[in-house]
Amino acid sequence: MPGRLEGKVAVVTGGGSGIGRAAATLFAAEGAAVAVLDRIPEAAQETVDQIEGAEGRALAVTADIVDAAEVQAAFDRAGAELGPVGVLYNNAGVNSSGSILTSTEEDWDRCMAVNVKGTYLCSAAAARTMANNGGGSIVNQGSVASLVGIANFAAYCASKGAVVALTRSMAIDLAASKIRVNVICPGTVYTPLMRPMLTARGGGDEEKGLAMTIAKYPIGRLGTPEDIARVALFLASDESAFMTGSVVTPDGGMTAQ
Amino acid sequence: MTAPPDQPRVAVVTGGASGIGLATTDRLRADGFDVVVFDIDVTAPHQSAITTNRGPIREETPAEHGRKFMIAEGGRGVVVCDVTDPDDVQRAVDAVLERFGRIDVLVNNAGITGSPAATVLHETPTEEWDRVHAVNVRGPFLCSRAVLPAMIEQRAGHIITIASVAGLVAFPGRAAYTASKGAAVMLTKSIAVDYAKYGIRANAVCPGMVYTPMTSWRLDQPELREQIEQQIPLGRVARPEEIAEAVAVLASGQLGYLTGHPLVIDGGLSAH
Repeated sequence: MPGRLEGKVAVVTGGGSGIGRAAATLFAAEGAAVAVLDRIPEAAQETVDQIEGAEGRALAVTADIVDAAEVQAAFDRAGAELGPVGVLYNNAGVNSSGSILTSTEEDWDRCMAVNVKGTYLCSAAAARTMANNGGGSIVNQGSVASLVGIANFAAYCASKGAVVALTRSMAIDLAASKIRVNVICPGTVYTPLMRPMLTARGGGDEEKGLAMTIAKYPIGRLGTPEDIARVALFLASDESAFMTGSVVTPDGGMTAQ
Repeated sequence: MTAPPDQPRVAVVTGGASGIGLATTDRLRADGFDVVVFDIDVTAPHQSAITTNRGPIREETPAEHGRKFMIAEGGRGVVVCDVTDPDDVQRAVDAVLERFGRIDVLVNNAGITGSPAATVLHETPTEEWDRVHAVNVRGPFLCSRAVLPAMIEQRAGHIITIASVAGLVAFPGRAAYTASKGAAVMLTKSIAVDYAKYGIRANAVCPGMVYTPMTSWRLDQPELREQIEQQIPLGRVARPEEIAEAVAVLASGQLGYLTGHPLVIDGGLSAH
């Protein structure tokens, strides 16, 4: 049986770790040629090695997604080596720490730059190609923090709220070019990015922070990178052909409460 | 398709004899489920859902349930059932459990928009309001209530309710329908929150405009269709199979961390 992304070229940003790595390997297993885009070349290469070890097709590309020139160069390279990009998973993101009273301006700027501007730059680079090649699917990464407030995550909440609004806007504007745009709002996923946050929440005790976090999830566990990657696969594939502008929340019931 | 982690087996689809329900029934069947259709209309399932190229049908009428229960070759069955009648629903669920031993997925699909009289609120006849809510809200309540004890015992199950994007944003001139679908979305969230501890998930699918027997009277009028399609960013209405696809992905267990979620499949209608 052909894979669910057979013949497609996908770019996964932040593909060097966590959800991005899980998605990149899953997309490749489903037949896509995957450009693993990461700020850290070694991390991207490690994902590529995993994919190639499973006889998939992948390419490591390095870019800081807040830099328009680096993004364009990365997409040009992906296009030249793998073919026209038909799927983009804007997974790369950063956390923030603190309320608006306790956080720093630098923290705010970095968070908005990576999570919002990065999504914009990568989407624009991908959409230019997709519009000329019969369309495509862009999957953005929001968060439950797009939908409900999370304590001491002011910049992160704001940035992820912006991603949801941007998704709707892109969905409307790009529909005529047959580009679908949807956003995933995951609940807490246990990734390297989360460990400092869990430790802080537990007052220095990561285990305690973990238990406190799980208590917010009716399903009784945190998400795994694979949980989210499977949602991304669904939105990237033609199985979701009538979905655009949708907000999908794999969050173990957290925002249903 | 990647094999899901734990393949469920038995699905019940209410209103499974036409439209989205029929497409869902066909799709789940193709995915290897034993599918039992609950439908009020005995003639429709006979003609479409069951008999088409699917071999002979045995009719069974378990005496203790007193319901007609028809099994097609390959395990697909139909129970004649009015989802608004608690006794009927209980008997139908009992019949499924007796025959198959478990229910892994319930698709609360049966739904109605109401007659053209069910329009803006101050003009909506009480009977229309009650009828729409009986099928769209009481139905999912009764069916979910009836399957939950078995799902609790199984420590697994998935209740998928076909709501509507009208459960999230109002459809103009459709007060009763809009309110009923809003209730269906929140019923889904309530089930998700209360039963997660038993390994049971609940999600809603919120289609926009889909071409089905329920909507064809509007969509078959070219001018009206064009008017409707102009409001949809993707520029077209959905095929029932596109909604069934989402139900199938949910039912497969692949999106295992998704619960309490209204999955919007509306071609961008509610994004603006």
